[in-house]
Amino acid sequence: MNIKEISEDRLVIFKDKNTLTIKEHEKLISLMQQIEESMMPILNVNVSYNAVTVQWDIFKMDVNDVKENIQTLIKNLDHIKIETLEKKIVEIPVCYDSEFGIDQDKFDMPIEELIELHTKNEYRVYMLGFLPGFMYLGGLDKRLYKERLDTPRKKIDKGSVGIAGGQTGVYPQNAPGGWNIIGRTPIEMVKEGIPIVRPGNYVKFNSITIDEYRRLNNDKNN
Amino acid sequence: MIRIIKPGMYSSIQDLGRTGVEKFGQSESGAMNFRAMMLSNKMLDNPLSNPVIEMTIVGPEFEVLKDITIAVFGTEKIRLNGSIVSTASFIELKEGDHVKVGRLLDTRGYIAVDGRMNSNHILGSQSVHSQLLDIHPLRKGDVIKIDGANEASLEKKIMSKYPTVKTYKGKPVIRVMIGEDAERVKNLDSFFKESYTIQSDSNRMAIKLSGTKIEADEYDIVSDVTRLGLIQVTKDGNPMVLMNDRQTTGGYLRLGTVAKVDLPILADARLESLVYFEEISIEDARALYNEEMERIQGTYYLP
Repeated sequence: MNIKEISEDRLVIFKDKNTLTIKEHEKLISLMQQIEESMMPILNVNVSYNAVTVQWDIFKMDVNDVKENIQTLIKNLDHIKIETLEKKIVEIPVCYDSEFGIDQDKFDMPIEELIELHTKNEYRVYMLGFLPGFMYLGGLDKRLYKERLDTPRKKIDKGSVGIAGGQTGVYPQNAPGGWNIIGRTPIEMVKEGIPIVRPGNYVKFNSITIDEYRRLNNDKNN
Repeated sequence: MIRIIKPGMYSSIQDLGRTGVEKFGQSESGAMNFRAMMLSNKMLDNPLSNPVIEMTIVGPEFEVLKDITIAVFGTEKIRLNGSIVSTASFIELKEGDHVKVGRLLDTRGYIAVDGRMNSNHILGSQSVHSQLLDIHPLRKGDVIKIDGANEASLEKKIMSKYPTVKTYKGKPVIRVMIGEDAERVKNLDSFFKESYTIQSDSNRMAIKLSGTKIEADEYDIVSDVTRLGLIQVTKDGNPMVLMNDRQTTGGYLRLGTVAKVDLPILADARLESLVYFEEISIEDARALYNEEMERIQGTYYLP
């Protein structure tokens, strides 16, 4: 793995490839945890599809010491057998009723098929960003790929489940956006600022009825 | 203690921002001009990280409910009970005083108070994020409590408030470290030669620029983590500098990163004003940042 400085107080750790295997991504997540748990004065650590980004306090540790420490952690990663951590799956209930799935007709298939294709897979969380709790997921069935809307909507409702290109995800709050909306979840994606998922977790969407949606939504609000 | 009568264009409480939460999708927020923010605290012998009120273009109007002392950066004068008072040093205010900050010199300014401003902490910081979180910018009627004012009398300081800024043709020069996707840019030399205009729709999320369009075959990248000062170029060829309330991930070409030492210039820059860009190495940018922090914490800005 390579280490490269990208600004005064940030460096990236990456493999010389654009797309990583799941095992390689798991290694990155493990490295991220090791860096967080180390004695280094870390301000932020983050993981993306193919790299770990580290921001540290340059007034407390010199860049060369940070790089050296990270090199040691990387070497240790190679020696330690990455124990296949118990796969954490977070279930997200989604109501695919047409009241919420306002772009379902764009998919050129019966709604039952859309639901089947969307709910059958376990999606890997590669990173979080854009909005607190917004997940970048991998594993969408190719038959569900759909280009973003030409003109983004000014407001997409909180909880909306959508598809854009080869991505699927959930809007954790009201936001403008160009995703194709196929359903809505009543659950909170963020609790007191902390997202309910982490990179490396898996997400499964489960279809619920509109009555169940309303019940869960009421529970949330009370 | 003060009560807000008019909040001004966009005034909010900011400290030096939140750490450790970027991985959740929450950017750090915090004062956009860290230099002015820290110096305004220094004028009052406060810890430099104490929360301040950040002002945008037009400052607030407020009523003083309990005696306080303030330091104001971003304008040379304010109105106190109708009379003009200089902000060259701190200003002592009495219960019942009426303060009107008025129009700032440029885009941003700061009000520090002797002691510590009380407001809600979220994820370890009192900084308000313009798009997220349950804490909001200042509104009419807000009452801000201040704790622990300095009992000992403060030594009057007339501070040199402004750093020496490098200029070209009278416009500020912003130093930029080359970014991950710069090799895709066909006219990088133009970016470092021509002037760029700060657009009016700039805000705490990004400073938007217009000028010579940046040319590249492909502007999209696989979504990746952003950072403070990152210069992104969107399909229309216009660069933008991501700032404190930015989205933490982005899918656009990364041309470079503004050196931290020059972020205060961008934070203050008047809308529709011009700037130039110059390349700098990461090592040199780091040295300049170190130097500037030493100046802020030391005696450089003091008389």
